[in-house]
Amino acid sequence: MKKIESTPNSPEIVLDEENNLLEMNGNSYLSNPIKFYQFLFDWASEPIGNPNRTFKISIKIDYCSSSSTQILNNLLKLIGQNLKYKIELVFFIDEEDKDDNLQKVNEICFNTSLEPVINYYNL
Amino acid sequence: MEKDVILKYEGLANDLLLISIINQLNSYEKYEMMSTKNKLVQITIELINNMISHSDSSENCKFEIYKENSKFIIETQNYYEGKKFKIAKAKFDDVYNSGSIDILIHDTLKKSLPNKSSHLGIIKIYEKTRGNFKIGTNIIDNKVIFKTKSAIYEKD
Repeated sequence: MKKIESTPNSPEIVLDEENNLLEMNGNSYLSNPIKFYQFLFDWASEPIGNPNRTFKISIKIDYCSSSSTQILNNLLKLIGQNLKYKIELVFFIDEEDKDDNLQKVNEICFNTSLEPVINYYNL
Repeated sequence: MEKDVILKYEGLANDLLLISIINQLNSYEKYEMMSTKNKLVQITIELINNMISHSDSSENCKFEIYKENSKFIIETQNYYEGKKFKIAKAKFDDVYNSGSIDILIHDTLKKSLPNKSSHLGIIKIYEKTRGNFKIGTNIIDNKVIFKTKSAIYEKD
């Protein structure tokens, strides 16, 4: 398992291959996001997942820059291409700014062939 | 018109500056709606990331947020040399001449690569400000100042 702690401008990331789980939680507005997310691209370049289990991706991104949106969209495209088994993609979004947050999810998932499940929360 | 300055900064633009500015915008208490704060933060993130990543000198940046009547105004200035400015201006013109921002965002994401800027930020600023986004230049020797002015309204 690999865990990266969050900072004010980068999310906590938990990559637990044994349990078929990838979690991201926090802000993502780094000026050079590819440097931060590169290890996930390296990981997703190989076949992903356990044939007998669903792979779960859980994303809760608060403030997100357009360059991070672009990176996450590229990452999900790569995961979609290399994932041989079932995937469950879940987004957690703040209900108070629902429209903007739904738009962010649509952009991150655009053209990825993945269908997100949306869970709302209210602070 | 009464000008209420919320933040003003001149100097080096980097990730630490952006974090500090976002913290200050989060602690500002005069937003009437939460969505206004979120839009202001999103636009600020795009403008400052643009200064960090695309200007020819991130040491000479200017940034100001102020409230004028019911509007929040954000102004930024940073240095571009001629060639880079032409690229940025061409992207800006593409956004202004686009028939549909949604289609432009989707086309940009389709063509995007992880390690290359797609200038999605300019499109997002235009969208978040509903087109209240201007760009201007002042020529200084062989350099230009890339000056932007963005406004968002407090009430929808």
